[in-house]
Amino acid sequence: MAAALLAFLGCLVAIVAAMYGAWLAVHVLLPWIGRRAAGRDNAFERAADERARTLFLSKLCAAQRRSWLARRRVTVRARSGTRYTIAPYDPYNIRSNDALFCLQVGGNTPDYDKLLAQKLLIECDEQLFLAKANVRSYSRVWDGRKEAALADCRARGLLVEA
Amino acid sequence: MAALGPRPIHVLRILDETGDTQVNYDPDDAAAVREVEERFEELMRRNFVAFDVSTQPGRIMRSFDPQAKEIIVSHQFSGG
Repeated sequence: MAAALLAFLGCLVAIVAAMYGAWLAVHVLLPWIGRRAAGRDNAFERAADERARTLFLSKLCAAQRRSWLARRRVTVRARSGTRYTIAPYDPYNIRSNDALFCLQVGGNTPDYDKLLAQKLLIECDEQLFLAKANVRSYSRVWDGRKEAALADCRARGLLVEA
Repeated sequence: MAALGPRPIHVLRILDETGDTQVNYDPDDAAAVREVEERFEELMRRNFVAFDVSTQPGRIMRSFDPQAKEIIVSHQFSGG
């Protein structure tokens, strides 16, 4: 009789211990693992952002770097002589005197990489920039420039028609 | 006797989720150039855009040029 009682109590203790272990796993261990993983992701993203920022700043001239650090604006001169001002990456973050431009850069890259890509495209191939970007302007000049850019890029085989 | 000096190192930078992946190569090393060229062509097939930033202003590249000292490759662009 006493042995059966001891066995019963042993089983009861084992069941309670298992339930407590499961509770600990769900409420303590898994959230801790989650926090650790999130912390690692944040550290990865911070390192990527810092690397991209360093590269972006290294590709600016001294005046552009001063402008970016002071006002978060950088002015880029295209081959046509048109000046474009780039603000932090967002829709329509590029502007000229009389127009706004929206140019998205694909890929899961830090915003500073996207800013660098926008700057390089304006400097290296303004026509492709105008062909790709959405343009908002009250000036009708940009309608003609956009059409000319599209024609130029099609002729160079840079645009693939859907 | 040929003058010994530091060998020129060219750079291919691929903008990606780590910030950028930097591939350094010796333009006089044919095997290294071939390897980088293959990587470049693979990116071009995936519609990436390459900029030769060795000069100011830079230029868009359609094909690999081993003489370019620094190439930056970005994902493609689209209107917002």
